[in-house]
Amino acid sequence: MNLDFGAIQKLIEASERCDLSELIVEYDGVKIEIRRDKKRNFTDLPVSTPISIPSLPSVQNEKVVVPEVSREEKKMDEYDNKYYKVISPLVGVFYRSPWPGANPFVDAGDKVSVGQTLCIVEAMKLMNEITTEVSGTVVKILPKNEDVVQNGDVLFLIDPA
Amino acid sequence: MDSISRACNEPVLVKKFSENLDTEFIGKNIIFFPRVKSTNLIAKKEGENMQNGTVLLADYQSAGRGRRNKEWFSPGGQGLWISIIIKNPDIKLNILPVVNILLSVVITKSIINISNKQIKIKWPNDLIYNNKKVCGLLSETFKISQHTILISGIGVNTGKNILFPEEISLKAGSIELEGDRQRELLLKDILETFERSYKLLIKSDFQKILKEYKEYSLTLNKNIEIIEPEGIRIPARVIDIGSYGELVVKTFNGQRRNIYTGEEILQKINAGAS
Repeated sequence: MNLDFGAIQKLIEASERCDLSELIVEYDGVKIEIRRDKKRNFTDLPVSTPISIPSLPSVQNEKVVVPEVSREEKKMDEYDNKYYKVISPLVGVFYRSPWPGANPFVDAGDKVSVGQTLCIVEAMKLMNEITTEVSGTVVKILPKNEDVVQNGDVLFLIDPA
Repeated sequence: MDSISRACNEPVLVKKFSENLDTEFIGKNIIFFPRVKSTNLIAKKEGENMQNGTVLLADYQSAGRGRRNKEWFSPGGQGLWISIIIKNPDIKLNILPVVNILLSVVITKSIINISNKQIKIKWPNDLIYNNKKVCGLLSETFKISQHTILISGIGVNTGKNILFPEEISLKAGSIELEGDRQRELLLKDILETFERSYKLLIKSDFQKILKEYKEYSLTLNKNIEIIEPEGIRIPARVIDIGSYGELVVKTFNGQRRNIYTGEEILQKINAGAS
């Protein structure tokens, strides 16, 4: 079966059912990447157009390789054990900088020390500065600027080493 | 303190005002600044070393700031420009944003009580009078040396004939109080009512406050537009205010969403206060 619009749509639906944030299908030198942003509707998702793509397996009939997702999950397991997680204490909008146009509080790779502000989470005009309780290196910043984050979401991974 | 402006030269008046407040901790320490960049800025720098409930009061702010560093016009003698400092609030961080909902109700009631001006609240906490914004709130919280500090910045335009900068002149208004005496009464009423309501909040009695908030709301049951990060606007109707003060909306294609910041929505209020 050729990879037409219907097949891509099925892939998208499958990624939604399994609540995947990323789905990568690689076959015969052609790569389709589907990324889901929780804030957006499906119709807004950037999807590669099927123009001039050779035949690819359908979702139902043939083996679909999704190596990146499982690798990502494995990475998260490693993060759980190895890195300090900075958790959002409330629901709100995540800001990487103190105000629009200002430099971010931190970037991935930056050294941080205890008490340093990492971001702001805003709800109902309460600007909540989130600080780190460990010193170390920022390994990963998980939400994007202005994403809505939930109470308990991991915001930063910090390597305390 | 029969005049906030005079008080800069007569600190004893501030002390007398503070002593006459019917509160346990809010405003028991008031620090007056005839001129300051921003009371919130001072509170952030020095709040750790100030006693719980300290109120910073300015006659003039040269760099008053609102949300995300927007300028807050704070001319001398023309408003109440204050910051209230609460150390280690007895409220879990995940529900702390309701303090701003509470404050907007408190200030609305105080203004009505003192001046009989009919104030409404545009979500989350802009106070509107005659279709113009007359009061703004900005709270900030952060941790420092094991303390959690909550700073609530309040700006109420009270003067008559305030010359607002052109870019905000269509949106900004004033409750136009009768002189310093009425301004002082308003401050007293706000601080006393805030402490009483704050104690209710600690007892988890937020439902009463939320009920009052809904009564004053200009946003509940109104049509708005949701602004997506890409700039796309989606028409929606506000169907409720959630238990944390968030906006519960239903888009016109039936999708239900919760909204947490004013930047996510556009609500037109006649003259365009936003």
